[in-house]
Amino acid sequence: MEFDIQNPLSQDLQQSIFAMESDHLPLLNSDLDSDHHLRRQIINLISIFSQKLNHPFVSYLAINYFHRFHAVHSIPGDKPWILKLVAVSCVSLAFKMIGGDSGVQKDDELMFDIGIVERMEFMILGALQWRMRSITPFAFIKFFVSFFKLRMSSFDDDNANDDDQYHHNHHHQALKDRATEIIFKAQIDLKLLGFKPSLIAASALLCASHELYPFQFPYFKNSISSCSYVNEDELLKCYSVVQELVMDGYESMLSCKTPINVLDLDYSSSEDTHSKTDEDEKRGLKRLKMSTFGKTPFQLS
Amino acid sequence: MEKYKLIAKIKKGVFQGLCLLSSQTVTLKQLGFPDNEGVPGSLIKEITLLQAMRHANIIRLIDVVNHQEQSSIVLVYESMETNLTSFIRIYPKVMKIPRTIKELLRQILLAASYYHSFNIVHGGIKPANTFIDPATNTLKITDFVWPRTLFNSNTEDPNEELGFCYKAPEILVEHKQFSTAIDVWSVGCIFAEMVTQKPLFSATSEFHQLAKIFSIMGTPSEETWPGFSRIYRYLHIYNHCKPKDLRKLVTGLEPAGIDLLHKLLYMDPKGRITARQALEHVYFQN
Repeated sequence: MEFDIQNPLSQDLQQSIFAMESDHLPLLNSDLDSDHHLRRQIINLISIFSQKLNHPFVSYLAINYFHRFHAVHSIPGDKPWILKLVAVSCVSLAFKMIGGDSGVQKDDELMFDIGIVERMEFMILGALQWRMRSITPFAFIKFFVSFFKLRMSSFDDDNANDDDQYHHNHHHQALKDRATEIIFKAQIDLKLLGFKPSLIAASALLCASHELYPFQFPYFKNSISSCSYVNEDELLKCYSVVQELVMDGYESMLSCKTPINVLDLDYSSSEDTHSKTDEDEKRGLKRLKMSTFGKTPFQLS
Repeated sequence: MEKYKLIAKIKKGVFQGLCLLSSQTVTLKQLGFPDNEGVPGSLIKEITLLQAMRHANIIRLIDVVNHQEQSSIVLVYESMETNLTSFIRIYPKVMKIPRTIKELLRQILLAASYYHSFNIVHGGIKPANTFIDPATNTLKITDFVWPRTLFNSNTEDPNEELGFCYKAPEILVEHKQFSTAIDVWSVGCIFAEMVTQKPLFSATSEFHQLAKIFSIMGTPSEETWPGFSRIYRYLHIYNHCKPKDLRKLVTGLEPAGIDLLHKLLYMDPKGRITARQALEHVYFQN
């Protein structure tokens, strides 16, 4: 009943999510360059509004709603209040899906009447044809990480015999955590908008393995490329964009530039404070899991 | 809404329509919101879940369309013509074949078990909501007569087939409490009805419904339903009845079927079989 962004259909229906992911893609109706500025402004606003809600996936989902809404409705960039209204409404809807029953509450900073936000929400629901259980890259991580098999070096052999399963899970978790960070970061890059969520997930995991397990990388890449759901050429294109983005992250960190927005602040500064971010992320995920699907039934009629 | 054309009214709030893009016949159900309230998160989650559900035995929610400004939405379902009530009336001979009954029951249970795997209680399984394609005997259930719980609206048509005949005893005594077991009870009622071609518990009101159930299944006691006298304080009003022999009431059903029926119509919801368990019952094994 609840919506878990990492498991959007509440069941392991891998085939369905691969078949359905294209329905959730923001078809680009406009030249990315021309509305680059507008998208960036709204993404910034969404990041600011969702910060208060303190939920790791709200901003991600809200930005996804925004891109999909923008694909259907053009948003006049010269009216700042409209940008703000769209941003607030996307955040409110995302919070309703992941968090509580009600969306954003009345707030002095909000400057809108709640009724106006609700009408905007309704308009977004209509434009998205009520497909609010977005299929995002997070939905594919579990699937693709299973392709990662650690080839133990002789050095590790003793440990492997002791507790093979533990190590296996541990490495998978490390990859998932890093890939999750990369996916959060990747959302800000508008170059990735046209790629399928599954490809972004696969690319993020490949980047993660390149950083954490460089010797395993070629094997991992081969097995993901040979997966029947993956188009190898598209994957390579997507991977190079994601990798570029990760490299940029290092550079901006080294030069201590001010992050572009809150998402950067949250996730890109994590390379050197890896363990801390891991902990935060886990806590966030745990909270999400606790609140997910399956506690109280609801009735249809 | 420009994608769909209304053809005919089926009942209050439900229409037959045509999709202008695919030329497919569809069923349109209009759903109004309470005034001056935003769309609640629980409703968005429910509708989006129904939209994501795919099952061969569930009528698919194809589309959700905003209607006018803020006031309502239209749920667009695939359309089927013959419901179980009409099917029994039109094809009484087909319904006499034990294999047909078994195959239809299996499909209802598959649908119920799919809903239950999402922890969704259908709450309104009855012949009027159960459709059959006569060409293939494919059965699909729907949730058209939806969300009384959500809107407090009286969307249910009083002329519609008496829904309470399929209501589980725990719902009749305590409306708030519900679990997936109430659907299993309804499936049991439909099972018996497919065999005898008439409702097993047919009464004229909800009050009499409970008396009718007690008269056939036996009035609950502390042994058969621990704690029942506590949840239902009016129990003493009812006559004490002993359970009747279902073999004599549901004649023509093989012994394994009678055993399954007993388990589907187990009074205490805690002891009732689940849809998934029912599918593994020996009745389906030949």
